[in-house]
Amino acid sequence: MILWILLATALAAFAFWGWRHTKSTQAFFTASRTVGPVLAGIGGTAAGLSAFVFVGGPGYFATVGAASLWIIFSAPLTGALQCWAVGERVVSLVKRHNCLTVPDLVAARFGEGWPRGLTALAVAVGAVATLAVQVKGAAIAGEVLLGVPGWLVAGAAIAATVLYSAAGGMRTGILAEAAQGVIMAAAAVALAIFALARAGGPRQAVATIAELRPELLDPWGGPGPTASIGIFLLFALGTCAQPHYLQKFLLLRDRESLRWLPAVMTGALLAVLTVWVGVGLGGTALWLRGELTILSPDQLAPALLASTGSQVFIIIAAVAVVAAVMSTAASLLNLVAAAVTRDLPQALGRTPGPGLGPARVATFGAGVAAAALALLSNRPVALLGVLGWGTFTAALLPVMVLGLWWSGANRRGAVAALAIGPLVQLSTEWARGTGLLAVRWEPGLLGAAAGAAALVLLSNLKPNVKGDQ
Amino acid sequence: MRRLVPISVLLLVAGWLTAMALDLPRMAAAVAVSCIGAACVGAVRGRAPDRRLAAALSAILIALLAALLFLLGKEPSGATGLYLQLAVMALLAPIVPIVYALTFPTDRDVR
Repeated sequence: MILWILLATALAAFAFWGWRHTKSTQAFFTASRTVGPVLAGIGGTAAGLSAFVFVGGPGYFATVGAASLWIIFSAPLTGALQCWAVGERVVSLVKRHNCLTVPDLVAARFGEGWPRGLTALAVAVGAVATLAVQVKGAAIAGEVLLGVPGWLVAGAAIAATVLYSAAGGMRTGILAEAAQGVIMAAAAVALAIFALARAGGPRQAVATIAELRPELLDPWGGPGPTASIGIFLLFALGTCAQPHYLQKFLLLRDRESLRWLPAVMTGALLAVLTVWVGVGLGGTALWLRGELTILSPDQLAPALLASTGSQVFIIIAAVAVVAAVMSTAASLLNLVAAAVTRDLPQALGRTPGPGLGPARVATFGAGVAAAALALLSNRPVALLGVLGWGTFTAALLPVMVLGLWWSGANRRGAVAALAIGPLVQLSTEWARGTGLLAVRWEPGLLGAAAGAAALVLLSNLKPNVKGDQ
Repeated sequence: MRRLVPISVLLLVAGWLTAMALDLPRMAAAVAVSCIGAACVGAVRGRAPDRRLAAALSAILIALLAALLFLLGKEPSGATGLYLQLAVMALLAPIVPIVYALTFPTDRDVR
């Protein structure tokens, strides 16, 4: 009880500090551009890695085995890929146009109105869906790990994040994310080592799986090779279209900060992903031996820890999951607030309201909307996560990767890409769900492919239309 | 470049759709690796005439494609596939960020 009181007091003090030191939209949305590569790298990684990694990842390993690793196979590439494909161009645009948000970048390149509005809409919808993943992950962890109602843990984590995010925006958000990233990395390594040790070591865990469920060691098992390569590409290129990743480029203090950003991001990312491999392998081996009982794959990691009876490990895991939830939620709340209070009104030709009041209210509203979506959705954490990721990829990948640097891209093409991408993605999602399309048709990639084709075709129909920058 | 980009993009899209429609994993792997390379073209052009990034990136992507094709070519047996997946990740993890840092242009803005 004393620990909870201390935590609540520290949280309130942190939020108050953020409130006192955040007086402008630049401070609220970009932390006044004071962030260096270490803070941006660790914070960005923490924001990108959600409860999906701690809860959904090991559970997905138990379901499809080594084929689940295609989601994280691109991890060594993605830090540098983001900088090569979008980061350098974003930093350049920020320098020239003082962009504060992702829709600002698109508007700086393709003009006001539809480009900004559609980008803001994609960010708001995708961010709420991704926030719902955080709520759901926290609820599962709370139920299985702490033995308390899931909604209570999820509600407490989101409420705390809303408090400091509404008070200080990204000024408090990036500091909290970096601290949470360090906690996540340390906890992930500890949990991976523990899980593998409990299973008798990596070799023994692999041997158990090879004996009892050898199909789980097939990298092309589960959805099959073509679909697995689709998953790999979705998570490689998709990193260039996630607004909570792109947001970190808006926070950088200078261009030189980019140089070591991939090294920090890759190190932090791989440290946290050890939980996917370690708990996935070790937990699956224990489950196959009958030493672990789970009702659904998402329960693998929490059940493994609960089965130890060790309060220390249970608390480490709970803290790590809550840190993962809160770090991702802070960035997403800020993105929704920016889209709703700044970008959508601007796209409609209105001037955003003065002060930070509307942004703070929108931050609160986004938290409530995500909680409602999580409670109403029956999709597992892993699938809900892929849906959010896919929406961002379909909507933003063509415009952010191709549109920002290709001089031939124009406003007409960008608007078409922003509209067609998500439509194709959602249609494909529906068609796969009803069995009309095979599972290998990855909706996010198909949406991005349609958007890219629309971008180049419509840009070539009538180059240099009015509104291009 | 103005003509080359649309043609390249449409070829990649057509290649991906073909690979998915006909369930051709090798073609999907080749297109996937090409897409990753294509996403970096802007950075490579921004560093011209310095060709170090182009060379390093080509080497990384060829290694990646080779690993994917090797995995696609072997019959599933034991844990070889899992170990190869982990080995590729362990190998690329330090190399790629170092390539980025060493080829980062300092003296001018990105074009």
